[in-house]
Amino acid sequence: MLSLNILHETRLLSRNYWFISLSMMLLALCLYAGHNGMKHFERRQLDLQAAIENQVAKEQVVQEVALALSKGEEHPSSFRLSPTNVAIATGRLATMPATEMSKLGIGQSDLYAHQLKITSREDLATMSFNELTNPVQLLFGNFDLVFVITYLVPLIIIAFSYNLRSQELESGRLKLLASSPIRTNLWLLQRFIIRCCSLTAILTVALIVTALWIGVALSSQLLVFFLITYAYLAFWFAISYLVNILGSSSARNSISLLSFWIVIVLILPAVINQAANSIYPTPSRVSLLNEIRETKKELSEAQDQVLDEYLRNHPELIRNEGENAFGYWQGYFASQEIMEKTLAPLVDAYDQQLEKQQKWIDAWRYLSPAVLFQDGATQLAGTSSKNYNEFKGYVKSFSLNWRAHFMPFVFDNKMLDLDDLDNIPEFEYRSSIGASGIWINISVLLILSVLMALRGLGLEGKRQLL
Amino acid sequence: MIFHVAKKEIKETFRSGQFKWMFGIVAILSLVAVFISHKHWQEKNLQREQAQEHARELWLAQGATNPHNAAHYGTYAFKPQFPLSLIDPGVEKYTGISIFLEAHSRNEADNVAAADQTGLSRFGDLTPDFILLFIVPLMIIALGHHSITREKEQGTIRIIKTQGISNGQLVWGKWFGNYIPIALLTTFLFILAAVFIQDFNWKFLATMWLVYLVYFAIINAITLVVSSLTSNSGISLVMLLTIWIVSCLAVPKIASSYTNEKYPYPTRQEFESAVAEDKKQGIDGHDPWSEASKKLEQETLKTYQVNRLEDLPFNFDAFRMQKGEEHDAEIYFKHNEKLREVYQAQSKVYKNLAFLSPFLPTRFMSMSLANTDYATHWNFADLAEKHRVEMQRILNDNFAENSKLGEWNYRADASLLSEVPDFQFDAPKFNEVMSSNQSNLLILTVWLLFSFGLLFFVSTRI
Repeated sequence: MLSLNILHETRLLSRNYWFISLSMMLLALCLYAGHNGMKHFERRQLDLQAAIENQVAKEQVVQEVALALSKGEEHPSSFRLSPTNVAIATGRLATMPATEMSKLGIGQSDLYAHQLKITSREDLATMSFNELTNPVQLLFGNFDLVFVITYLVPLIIIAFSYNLRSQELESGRLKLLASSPIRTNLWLLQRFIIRCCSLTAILTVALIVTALWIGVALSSQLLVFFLITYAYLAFWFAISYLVNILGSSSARNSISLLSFWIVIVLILPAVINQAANSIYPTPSRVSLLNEIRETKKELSEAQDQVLDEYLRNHPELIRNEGENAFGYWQGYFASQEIMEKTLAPLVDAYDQQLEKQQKWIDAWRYLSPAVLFQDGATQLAGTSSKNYNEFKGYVKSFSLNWRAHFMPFVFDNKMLDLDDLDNIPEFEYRSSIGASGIWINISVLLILSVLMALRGLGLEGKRQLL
Repeated sequence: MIFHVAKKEIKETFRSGQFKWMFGIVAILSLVAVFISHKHWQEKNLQREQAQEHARELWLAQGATNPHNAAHYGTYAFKPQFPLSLIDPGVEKYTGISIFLEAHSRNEADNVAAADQTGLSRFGDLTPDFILLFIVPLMIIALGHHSITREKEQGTIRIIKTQGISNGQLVWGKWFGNYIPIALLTTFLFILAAVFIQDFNWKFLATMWLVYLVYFAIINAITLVVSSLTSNSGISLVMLLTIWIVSCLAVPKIASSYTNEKYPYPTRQEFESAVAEDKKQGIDGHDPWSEASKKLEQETLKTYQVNRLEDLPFNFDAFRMQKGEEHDAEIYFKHNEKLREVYQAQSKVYKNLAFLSPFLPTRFMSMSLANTDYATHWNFADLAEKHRVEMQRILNDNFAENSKLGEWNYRADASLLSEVPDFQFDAPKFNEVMSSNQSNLLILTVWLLFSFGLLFFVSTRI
């Protein structure tokens, strides 16, 4: 039966103009989405390059001054070697380079900045990670491959399969089939699997052509991306299979499947997100602004005590040069640290709420396979919220190290020399987000597909053939 | 006759289990959306009002202080939350809501809500505009896709025609029959929102209601056009859903990707570097040794015909500070104008592409009427900058007029702080909003006429 079925389906599909034209459309959609992803990637790379060049030029100036002074020469810009100048004006660039996989899913990369200047003047509480973007673009989102697969491919699957059984039922052929010594639901499942394999093959070709065109090299991550796409496809074919068995007419099947699409792709993600925001609301940022100002004011009014307290916590910085040895900058950094400690509970509340929201979404994502796919695919692309939260963590931690590195120089009133410049901390971001979450998503999608297929097979002989 | 067809359609719709389910789900979603949006709106409103008051209290609490210290201490401008943002929060989630007003720097709006949310927020929020823009059109399609095809499939169209009804009357009867339940649902949603909002300008709300009714009228007409042209309900549904996906999801995303590729914004880092580079070329209020400062010094001495800065009738330090401030403001203005040009070029592309889908003009008009569009945000940022420049002028003038050169310990009376007005940002007037939306109105009208024209045309071909 299987070989006959394969032969029959292949003939049907090759003569079906809808199938051929939809396949062409799928290829065109993938290519266009890939093009958008590639352009976004190129722009990110160019911006990053420009920012790095700008930073290198700044550091070069400082290096030149240090080199001249190390040779015993005089330089009019020797002030550039002051610790505050290097720590604040020169600063360091924290970067999050784009991976090739980001061409597949733009994700959150249009919302956040990928290059941030780290300076000792920056407060952790008010550090901004947002990119300069037209908010209308953020509202509409991007036409990338993740969008095509999450939203459009399920509809193509529905269009291909909503009437596979009902068509036979409506034309009366199903009765004829049932009179043969075959299990009709198994026969139907085979048809679904053949169609699933056909579409998978077409999508694979479309994705490979797109990947080659936009320059995404073969990697384990790309393979996992293919796997999660297949699992998502399998889910939609499985749900269509079950609806075909339960539904009595093509019209009813199409309505039911489209309702599932609306609920899974549109409504559930919005409801899960809304619930996360309502259950774990983010504290008011606007109230924090005034808290920061009030704290800053109090600290500036009690500058001497602030410095005393700071030195009590950092005895290694105490110098035996009398009380007046420390000036504005020492007081400034002392206030900054104490202010951050004071505000830490308030600032941490945001991260904690965001973490709770993420946990809530992680727990409820199983309700919507669209969320499972999008979550896995954007993680693979390195553009998910998790990636950006990780990057933020790196930046905040580096920012503290950066400031701490210059404190002995500031309190020593010591200018930096060539050797000191070589020992300045370097920023390096390495993502440690594993693929375990993605494997769970793939497994859940496959388990759901198998369960629905088994349920369909279990209904053999229990549905009317009228 | 039209009335009879419409009555029969409505009766059938209200009797159908499918409609009851759909209506029930949409009504529950609307209630939840309005309730949650109202709750969030109230919380945010209270937070912003308190923050605005608190910022003013902190500003005034500085007491007698050096004017330049006060300028550095600065204050915040908060964007108020407008009542209709409860229905359509627009781009609010992606724009900042507060701007720090301080000496020497024009800061960008910060506190972007989307940055405090997970990636799932990009799927959309359950807000009234989400239901109106995405879900209600789907409901229209689900109810109307088989309006004509069903009559063809069941063969009842021939019987109906024997009753002496023209094709036009049948189609328009079906149009009204499909539209009236949707119009009632929309009106219910707006009344519900109005009850929750309470304090609003009825002109904005009524226009928004009308815009959505026009949007649904267009979708309803397209639905009936497709239903008239096809002979199978399944094909009609697939075609209509394709149109829906293209109009509501694909076209906005394509427009967004195309606009970004054609007119990209500079990165924040690029923008800030360019500003910093230009700032270096002019007067720095804190740097008396720079070439520009020396030049200003010479020019001022010449203008007042004195030989020493001490002989000037004002404090030259504060005067230089003000000149530096004016120079910085010019640079910020120049770079923000460049940014505005990009934004305007982008907006033009969006406006041109709005012809592709009735979703886009509706989306833009809805945001605009709710004062949650990008143009309102630009107005807020411009007004905040104007306020900042004026604030610096008041402080620097006082410093210059009441102190002597080098008198950095000068303290102005606390009353100086109240001379700086409180920041106030009001919603644009109704006429302003409507005139800025002329092209959207035009496109929506063209879509309405086009879809009705098409419906007239196909009604002759059934």
